[in-house]
Parts: sequence; C-alpha cells; structure tokens
Amino acid sequence: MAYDISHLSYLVQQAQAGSTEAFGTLYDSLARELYRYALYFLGAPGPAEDAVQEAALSAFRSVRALRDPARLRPWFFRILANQCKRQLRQSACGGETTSLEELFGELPAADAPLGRALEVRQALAILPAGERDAVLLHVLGGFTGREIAQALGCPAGTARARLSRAMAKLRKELEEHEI
Amino acid sequence: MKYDPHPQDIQDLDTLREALTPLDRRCPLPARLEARHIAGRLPAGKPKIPPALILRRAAALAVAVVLTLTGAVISDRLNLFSGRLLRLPAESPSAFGDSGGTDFGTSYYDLERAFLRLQKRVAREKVNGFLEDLASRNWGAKAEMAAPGELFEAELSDTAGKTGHGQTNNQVQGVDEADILKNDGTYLYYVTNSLNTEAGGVGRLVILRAKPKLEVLCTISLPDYRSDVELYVQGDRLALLYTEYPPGGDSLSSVRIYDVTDRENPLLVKTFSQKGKVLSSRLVGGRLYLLSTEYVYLDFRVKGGVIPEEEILPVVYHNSEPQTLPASKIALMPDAEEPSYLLISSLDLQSSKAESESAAILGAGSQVYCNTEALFVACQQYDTTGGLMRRWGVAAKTLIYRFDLLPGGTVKAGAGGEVPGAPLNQFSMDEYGGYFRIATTGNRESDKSSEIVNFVTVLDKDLQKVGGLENLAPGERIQSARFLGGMGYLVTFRQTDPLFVIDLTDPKAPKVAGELKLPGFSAYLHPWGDRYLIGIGPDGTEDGTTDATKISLFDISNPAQPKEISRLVAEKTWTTIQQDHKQFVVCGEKSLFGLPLQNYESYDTDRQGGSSSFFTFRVKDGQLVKDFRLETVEPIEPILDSWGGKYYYDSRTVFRGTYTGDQWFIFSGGSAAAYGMADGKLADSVTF
Repeated sequence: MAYDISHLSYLVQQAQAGSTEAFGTLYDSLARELYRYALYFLGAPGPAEDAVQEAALSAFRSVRALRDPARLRPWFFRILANQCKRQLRQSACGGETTSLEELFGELPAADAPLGRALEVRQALAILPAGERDAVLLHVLGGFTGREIAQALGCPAGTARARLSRAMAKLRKELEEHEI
Repeated sequence: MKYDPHPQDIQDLDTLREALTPLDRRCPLPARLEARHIAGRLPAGKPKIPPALILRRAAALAVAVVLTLTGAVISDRLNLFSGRLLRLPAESPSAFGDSGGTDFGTSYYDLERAFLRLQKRVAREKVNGFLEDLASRNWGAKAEMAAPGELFEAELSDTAGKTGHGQTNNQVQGVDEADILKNDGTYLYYVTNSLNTEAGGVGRLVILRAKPKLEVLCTISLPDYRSDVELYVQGDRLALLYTEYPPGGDSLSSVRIYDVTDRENPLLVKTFSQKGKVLSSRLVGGRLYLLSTEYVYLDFRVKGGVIPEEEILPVVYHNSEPQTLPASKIALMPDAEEPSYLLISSLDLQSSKAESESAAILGAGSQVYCNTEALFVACQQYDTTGGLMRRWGVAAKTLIYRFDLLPGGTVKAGAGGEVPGAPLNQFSMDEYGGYFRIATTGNRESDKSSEIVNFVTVLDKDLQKVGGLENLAPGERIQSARFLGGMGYLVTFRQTDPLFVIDLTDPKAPKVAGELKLPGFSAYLHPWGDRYLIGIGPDGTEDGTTDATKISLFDISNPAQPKEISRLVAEKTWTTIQQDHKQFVVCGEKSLFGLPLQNYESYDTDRQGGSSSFFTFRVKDGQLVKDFRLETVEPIEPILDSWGGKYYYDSRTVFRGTYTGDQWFIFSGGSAAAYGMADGKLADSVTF
C-alpha cells in the first residue's frame, strides 16, 4: 500500500461517506494485484475482469464494514476471493480455461524464465481451490499468514496449514517436472 | 509469529513469486478495470449532495399508506426540539457537571471554531499535495436511483398457542438489543442480511408463523444501498433499523416503524433518519434509542468568515422531512480528534407521532453499554504522535460519556471520564451499585513501552476513578469479559487462557480473587445460574489455538478457585461469537443452549468455507452434554471449477437459532428449518 495510514484512513472515511473518487483511489492502489489474483484463480481474462469489477462494486457497497483502514487490502481480497468462488459456482463446470497464448500473447519458444513461469502456473492448477486461494494471496498479494486468514475468513492456524499442504503438493509437482 | 507460514514455505513461496514475474508483465490491467472506469460505475455521486431522493420517494408512498389505512395523523410541522435534552457546558467537557437545563449552551460560533480547528489540524496532516491530486481527478460518476420499498403479501391464519420461546441474548435485563431475528413466541421475524452481489446487498424482512406449521406470512424487500439491517419487535410494532447509502447522498441511519397487527400486511407507521452510520441502538421501556456517528467533511465552504449552517450542523428526518439540529443541542468535546458527531435520538415505538428527542456530541463513539437508567458511550482516542503501530495498535485511552435516560425519552448528559486503553466490546463495561466498571487493554502506562497490559477501572457517578487494577496479564489481550454483580470475570490470552476472577465488592480496592489457566480461550462468557459460567472460544494446546471450538462450564462458586468442571470440544469448527454475542440462545426451562459454529472441515475436503451448523448443548448435573447438530436445509451442490478442483458453495451458513415450545428454529440466508428439541429431527422447513 503506497499510502500513509492517515491518508488511507482519510480516504476510507471519504469512501464510507459515499465518495467515489476516494474509493477509486483506494481501488487503484490494488487493481493490478486484484486482477492478477482473479486471472490466476479463474484461469481466463473474461471471468477475471467480471470478478474484479463485481468485487469492486461489492466493496464499495459494503465499505462501511471496513472498520480498520489498515486492513483494506485483506478486506478487499476477501471480497474478491468470495466473488471468484461465486463465479465458479455460477459457471458450474467452468470450462473456459483460456490457452496460454490467448492469455499471455505469443510465447517465445526459447525463453527459459517464461517457461518456468508457465510451469508454475500449471502447477497451481492442481491445487484445490481452497489451497490455491492461500498461495495466490501470499504470492501475488504478499500477504502474511494472519492476513490470509482474514481474507479467507478462517483461523490463522488453518491458513498456515493450508499453505503448508499446498506447498507440499507444489514441491512434488514441480520436482516431477524437474524445475 | 506462530501464525506465520513455515520458514521453508515462505522461502518456496518467494521462489514461486519470482518465477511468476515474467507472466505479470504479460497480463496488464484491462482498460475496463482501470480506476476511472470502475469509479464511473459506482452507484454514487459527489459526497456532499443532500438528502436521499430514494428515502423521499419511499416515504411519500409510506405516508400515504398510513393515512389511508390506519388514519394516523402525521403533523406537517414537526415539533422536534421540544423538551429537555442533553446539557453539557462547553467549557468543562471531562466533568459535565450540573446538567439540568434544556440545552448545552453551545453557540453556533463555538461550533464553527471547533470545526475550523479540526480543519486546521487535518490540513497539517496532509502531505505532498495529495488531496489536490485527488481533487484534480475528474472521474465521471453517475448517480443512480433505487426503487422504493415494496410490500409483498402472503397468507394468514390463526395464531398458535404460546409457550416458552427464545429471546435475544441481551447483555442487560430489560434492555433489548436489535438483532436480525426476533421471536415473540408466535411469530418469527427475520432479516436476511447477507451481502449478495446478485441482489445488490439487499436486506429482506421475513415474518413467519412458527406453529403449527412453519410458514412465511410476508416478505418486505428493502431497496439497495442498505446495510446492517436489524430489527425490534414490541407487541404489534416492528422497527427496522439500518444504515442506508442513498445514491449521491450521505449515509443515513434509518428506522422504519411498522404496525404488524396484521402480520400479512405490515403498515409503515413512520420513518426516522439521522445522518451518519448506525453505531448501536437499544429499546428501553418502549423507547428506541438510536445512536449514529456522522463524519463531517472538512472541505466546507467559508463565506465571509462564516461556515454556512448546512455544512456542519447534524440533520434528522421525520418521514423524510429534514430538521437541522441547532448548535445548542450539540455538546463540544475539546479533545475530540475526529470531525464526527455522535447523534442520539429516542423515538416512541408505540406512537404514530413523528416525534423524537435528539442531541449530539462532537466526537465519535465506538462501544455502547446501556442499562435501564443510563447509557455509556466509549470513545477510543489514538495516540497521534507515535508511530503507526502505536497509532493503530491499541487505543491510548478511552473517553467515556454517560447519558441518563429519563422518562419520556429525554437523554440527559451525566458526566465524562477517561480510562487507559480500550474496551473489547460492550461486555467490557457494566454499572452496578452506582459504580461503572470497565475492562480495557492498552499499553503499559508507566514506562510507555509498547507492551500490552490490561486494566480494570472503577468509576463513580461522576466518572471519576475510585479504584482499579493495572498491568494485568502483560503481553496478553482481553478476549472476553463479564461483570456479574460484585464480581468480574476476564479472559486474556497469549498461549493459554487465564480466567481471572476479580472481586469488585469494594469498588475502591478491586482485587484478583482467583485465576485459572487453561489452553485455548473463551471469547464469550455467559452466566448460568449463580454458580456457573459458560465459556465459548477456540480450543488450544500449550502452543496456541487449534482448529476446534471449546465449550467450557466453569464453577465460580468459590471465587478463589474457579474450576472448569466440564468441557466439550467441537472439532473442526470455529466461532465468531466474540463479535456477535446474539448468536447465543438460551432455553432456560430445558437447561439447553445453542449457537452456530462455523465448519471448516471444508478446507480438508475441498468444501469451501462459510458453512456453519447450529449446535445445541445441555447442562445436566454440572456436566455439559452435547445435544444436536442442526443443519440448514439449503442444498450443497458440488461445483467443478475451471482448474478441475471441486467446490461447494458457501450459502450454508446458519446465522441464528431460536426456539418456541419444543422446537428449535434455525435460519440461514434463504431458509428456516424447524427441528424437534427432543429428537433433533427435522420437522419442517421453508425457503424465502
């Protein structure tokens, strides 16, 4: 978060009183992280855009629920995480995972770091959604264990356990692919 | 921190993050998600557009209904400010002194000075022209209009016989607290309050008949932009309370009072609103006390050295008719750090007259304790000079305002005082035998170290300290508190749970009478007869909490030796009772109690979080006995996600349970279910 807490607090108060400008500024500071989360979680840009947009509207409607401005980020991610889950439910079998080319443009054949990144992305796909949540929040959002718990609405011990389980699976998966 | 991920996991997660970086550059933010586009879609305009079109429309409709159907007379000139209100001398805020008059003696000039001072202070805190930057952005925001409230009809038949029934878990006898579920023994009144994107965060009131068959009598949908809807029921009057966010306007704390003589066709009797968000409310002797906090913008215009009245004076609305509160009804707190009003209005629930008693103080509030005679508002003050952690970690001190509740709904200022640290919730406060007791967590006072300690402070009628305990349980925070007569019970937590028994029989010299250390901690304490205390909270080991909820029965008959005489553990559950004590319901005549617990077996089985079940327990011969686990009737549907993972939707949350006669009734987002108390079997259910 780029803002000093007193500004954050001011913006949150303004947003709570109905200022779309203030809310827009708050959203702006998180938009990229939010979109990447939705994209990696849902696997396709269209649904990811919908999810972020819906989450932003929900967040604005419920911004009064944010008591501590310092918790803006975990709070916002929690709304997004719920929205993503809701969308999965609505799309039932989901299905529309976009091809990597569609997602990331034409991929140079001999780009080792990119290849590695794609392997990681594929590996994330094997995780149950509940664990993928936790990993993405840490990796993309830079969340602490406690913040992950806040965002997912579970006890901190559980969040830690989910991360651990997820990492064990990822290690196994990535080792098998010799990364 | 013991909750942080394992160091090896952190290292590997960092590796993952680095590995993913090349992809980040390849997925820029789509234009549709840029802030200016999002802001343009938000349902509001500029923050300073006055009152709610939507409220006016809804209320115009409502008034017409009242006039034609009940013949109630609503005067067009509302006599708002008659009667005695708060009186606070502006000069002596921390000792309000004699308060017998009709106003605070605050002049508009005093109020203006106070706001200009606040404006100056906030201006100093701005840096780098941040706000100018904000002001220069020109995002086109569109105002949208919501539809007025609608009444839906259902069928009606005769009433069922009355027996024992569940009641809201109020802190103080005789002082009702608003909740999402009310039970009058014949009918059940429930508000679904879940944030629902499809429906737009709407609250819905559902009135059901409990017996002989569970059935929906009527549903009242509230339009969008309302939140935290709660209700009161007294006889044939029902009050809905909520904060509303009118498109393009400031937030309002609103009350809609219905005549529900005909449960199928509730009639709107009157509406009342005041600016700001709902802080709390109480119903005492037929009088509804609504407390709200309103943040006042400091970007007000100043014309010729004068601030126009409408910029800073609080406003209340009777049936949408605005009335400005004069400066004389506003008490000034020189120490107030926030440009916020705390507004208190009292309304007669049974009367159709558009009348209220209103008063305000400049200074925000956070927790409210109320008994039948007085209302205490705690207002946390943060240390603005310290670093961020100090500022946001724990409150440096808490100001307490006392208001006496006089017959006729008049609210009279008593006194003001302060204590170190901050209370956890309303149960951290209590008044007994003329003394106000408060348990707080704050920083150690003597050496200004950042170590957290706890305090119990006893204040007299003038809110002057007469005794107290300091520096209790260093490094631990209060997790629950309960004052019962001459005794106080505190639970603090770091790794194990010390239950402290505090002897307050001598207000000048409170002392720790006994202590009990256990793993886990109680997040809520409930008295059970004279001898026992029920504790509910996370279970734990010596290393911290575990994924289970512990229900404890403490024997407190010997203050020196509190004992945990029985305990039950609900594996793979957790509780939010610390934030919401109204989840807890007691059936005294059958020695039963119940509450919803959140399930998180979900995370092990890929069933996503959010689901909860209603657990019932029995107290028998000094032992806790597990009774039943009642589930919502809403379906679980496995969902496959696009990654091939399995999902279950999280609509299976039980928010409340209550009982009538020999049946439990549990409520989730869109359904209610009746279960036999004796056999725990599903007897009936409805969806709405």
